[in-house]
Amino acid sequence: MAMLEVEDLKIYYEVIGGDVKAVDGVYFDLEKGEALGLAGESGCGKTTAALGILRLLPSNGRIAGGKILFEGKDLAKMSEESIRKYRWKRISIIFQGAMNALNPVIRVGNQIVEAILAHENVTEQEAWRRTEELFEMVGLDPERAKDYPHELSGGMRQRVMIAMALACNPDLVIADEPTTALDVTIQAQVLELMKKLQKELNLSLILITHDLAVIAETCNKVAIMYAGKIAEYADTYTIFKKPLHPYTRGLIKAVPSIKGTKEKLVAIPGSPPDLLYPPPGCRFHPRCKYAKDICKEKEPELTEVAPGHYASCHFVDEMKNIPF
Amino acid sequence: MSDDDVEMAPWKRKVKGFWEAFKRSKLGMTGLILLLIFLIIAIAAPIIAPYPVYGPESRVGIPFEPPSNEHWLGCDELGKDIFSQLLWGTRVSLFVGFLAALMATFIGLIIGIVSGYFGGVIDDLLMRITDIILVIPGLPFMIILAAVLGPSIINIVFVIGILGWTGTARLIRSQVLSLKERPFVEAARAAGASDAHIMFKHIMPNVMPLAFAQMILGVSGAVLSEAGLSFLGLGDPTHISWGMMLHYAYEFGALHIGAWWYVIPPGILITAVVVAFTFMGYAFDEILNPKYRRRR
Amino acid sequence: MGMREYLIKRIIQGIVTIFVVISINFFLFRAMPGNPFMRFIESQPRGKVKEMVDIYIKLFGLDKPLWEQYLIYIKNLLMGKFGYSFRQVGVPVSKIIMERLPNTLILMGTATTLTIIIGIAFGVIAAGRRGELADISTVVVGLTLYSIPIFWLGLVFILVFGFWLGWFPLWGMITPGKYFSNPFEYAVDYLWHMTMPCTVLVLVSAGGWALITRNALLDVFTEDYILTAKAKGLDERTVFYKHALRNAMLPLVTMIALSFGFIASGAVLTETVFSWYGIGRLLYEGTMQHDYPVVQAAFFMIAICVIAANIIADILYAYLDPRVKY
Repeated sequence: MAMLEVEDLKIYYEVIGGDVKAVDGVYFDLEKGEALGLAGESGCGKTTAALGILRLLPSNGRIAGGKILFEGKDLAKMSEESIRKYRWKRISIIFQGAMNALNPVIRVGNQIVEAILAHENVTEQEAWRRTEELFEMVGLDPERAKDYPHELSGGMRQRVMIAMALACNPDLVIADEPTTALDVTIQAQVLELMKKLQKELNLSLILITHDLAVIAETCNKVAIMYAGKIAEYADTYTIFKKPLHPYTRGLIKAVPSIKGTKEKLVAIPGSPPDLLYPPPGCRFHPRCKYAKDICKEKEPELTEVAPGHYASCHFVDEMKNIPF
Repeated sequence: MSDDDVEMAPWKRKVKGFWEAFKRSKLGMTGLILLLIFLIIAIAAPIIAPYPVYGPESRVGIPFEPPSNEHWLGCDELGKDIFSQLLWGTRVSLFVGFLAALMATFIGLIIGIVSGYFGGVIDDLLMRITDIILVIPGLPFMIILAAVLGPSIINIVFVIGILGWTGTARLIRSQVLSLKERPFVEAARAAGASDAHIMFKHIMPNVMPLAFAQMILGVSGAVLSEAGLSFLGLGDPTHISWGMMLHYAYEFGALHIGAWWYVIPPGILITAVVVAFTFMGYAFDEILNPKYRRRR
Repeated sequence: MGMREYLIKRIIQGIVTIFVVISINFFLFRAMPGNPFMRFIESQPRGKVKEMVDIYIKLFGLDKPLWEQYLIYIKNLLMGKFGYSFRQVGVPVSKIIMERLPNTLILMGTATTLTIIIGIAFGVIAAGRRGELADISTVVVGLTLYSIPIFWLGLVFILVFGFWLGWFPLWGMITPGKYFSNPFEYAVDYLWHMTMPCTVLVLVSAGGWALITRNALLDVFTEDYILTAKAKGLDERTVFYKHALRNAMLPLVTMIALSFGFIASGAVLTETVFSWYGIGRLLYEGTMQHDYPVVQAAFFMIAICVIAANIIADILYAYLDPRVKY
């Protein structure tokens, strides 16, 4: 049994006019020490899926179906009291844009100490000592623990977030666009740090990003999401070398550094659908150059095309013959 | 989105969307219905008022006469019918409220747009002036200004309007700061449009909804200020207003003879008019404020 | 920007504002068409207050050009010379002000403190129960209370609790002609008189405070750091009090500063209705009696209080928000 198994997860937001099906039948699993990349355009439901795992959805959001099995226990059905014991102690999360993720009026060290004290039976001095160790681990001067968030640079704040995420020695860390708001050079440093820590601490990691290059460097396997569903799911090598779903292919072609520099960059035409009224059939069909009539009528199922390689497309077999 | 939505002009679609959202707000609709009732009363006052309220023929009863079948809310110290005066008083409240709020919003709109658009020294100067006016205590200033200017309706409007624009100016300014970075402003500038053209043709239409919401909220403050000034005896003695009625009620000792029919009704009407605008303003704010929208 | 520079900047701004207030006072009463100040003095029967008129002309330099009068006016004010009352002939205005000021400070201080505490408490309750009955009624009642003209509520209170029920005195600050054997008795009588004006002030202003608190909290709830706090597995109380409320206090402090002007307006009306002999009532009396030196001084004092309160609120803000200091 995998450490985390997400099965047919459905998360809906109630808005005026109906339910926005932000996540609508998502599957993936994760072993101890593995890193999973969750990729897709913004608004595809990847952040919602992450928040759903920790049950941190906004008040109009709800888990409408499916299971989130963590070590066999379903987080989706747990009481608020019990899920709180999993938060941070077992599963922690690094949010995008660390500026607002840190409380502006509390010293960063105290924000970490607070997390430790909430879950572990240690004295405050002990928690502070741990915080200083964590600061060293992420390459920050322990003295900076007494600073307020606005006194730190963007890269430093992201390091603080990483230190905070590791404060209670969690088994799983979810990182939601951890490098998006940073300069390119800082991005590389932070990513390097995350990779190193993941290996050293044997962490499981879910990395959520729209940047496939980041995933290629960091993750063992990748789930590509489109409009609330998994389009394709496989190990990193397969996804980048032998993708089958037209959407995956489009995404990869839109990234400069992966498939060599000589090829022309092609953006996928069109934009993601309105999830309040998703298109019938395959949700990708309005933007798919291979779409046939069946794609407009019938929703494709997520099928295993090769061991460990899943895709949801009516024409997976044909796609195998179209070279990438 | 249906087909005719697509064919509509953008501003029409915006107004329609706004109205759709407003209809859903119970507070907003309550306010709107209240306002419509008062508007009808204000227009129809001469027809529906049972007794005249101006001139010597308005003394139709006994001074401080309690409510009866002839005089539903009794009479005042001169024997004038209070119910009729209440109906007529609606006019002054709404007139002063609207006009003063319009004046304040107009000043705030211009200062906000100019300040936000030009930035730099102009912005600094205008915002410092705004900061100063913001801390000048409102009613006390209105009192001395009204005392010096003398009592007339237009003076009351001026006195209220001249102070009430600071909040609007700040709000509009911050909106303009983000608007002027938008592509359509860049495009207009690249096409060689003048500053005035950009400010009033491109930016102003975009801040109008906000200005309108501010004006609606401004009316409630203006109605309260008019009532306060009139109560203090600084109102226009040639027109009947609710604040003025309360002034006479207080001055002529209605409290000491327990003439509740003279004291209570005018205040209820002031509250109702102010509530109408406060509720509507609150509903507008919820619709227009992007922070609230995100929570939906 | 260091805390010191911030303070200096605020104080300079306060001084500029005071200067503006002084100028308003001067030009409104002396440079307006018809010169209300001179008109009043000239209208006095010479025989009766002849000496007063001479004293005034000398004190304010009324026979000199306007710009010189302006300088003299500023100089006098800075030395605390407000002149003499027109009505209470020969009484220095500063003496009248000093008699009235404590009454205003006691009433408004008590009312404002109670308002803020009660308003914030209701706002916290409403925000914590968003969309529930407690929240909706706070919004509706808050908006309605905010819409009530304060002077009218005062009249209704006098009518109901003073005239009909006889629980509280109709007006004034102490029972006239009553003998007090010790200061405590005096204080009790004073507070008894203060109950109604204070309650009216609190009722009308607390609604607005509850709404502001509620909206500030709801704004903060959407911030990412609240999500972080929840993700850390903190319990709801800690998230609410330690993370949300502390950040929501920042806009609240700004609102406190902005509301002092509103409080001053309430003071004038409430003091007038309840015959509470404070600065607000003094402004009203002076206006009615064309006692311009008194009006000028009362307006000046009210403005000074509002400006000072603003500066204090700004300092408090800088203390609460670490971002201001740098």
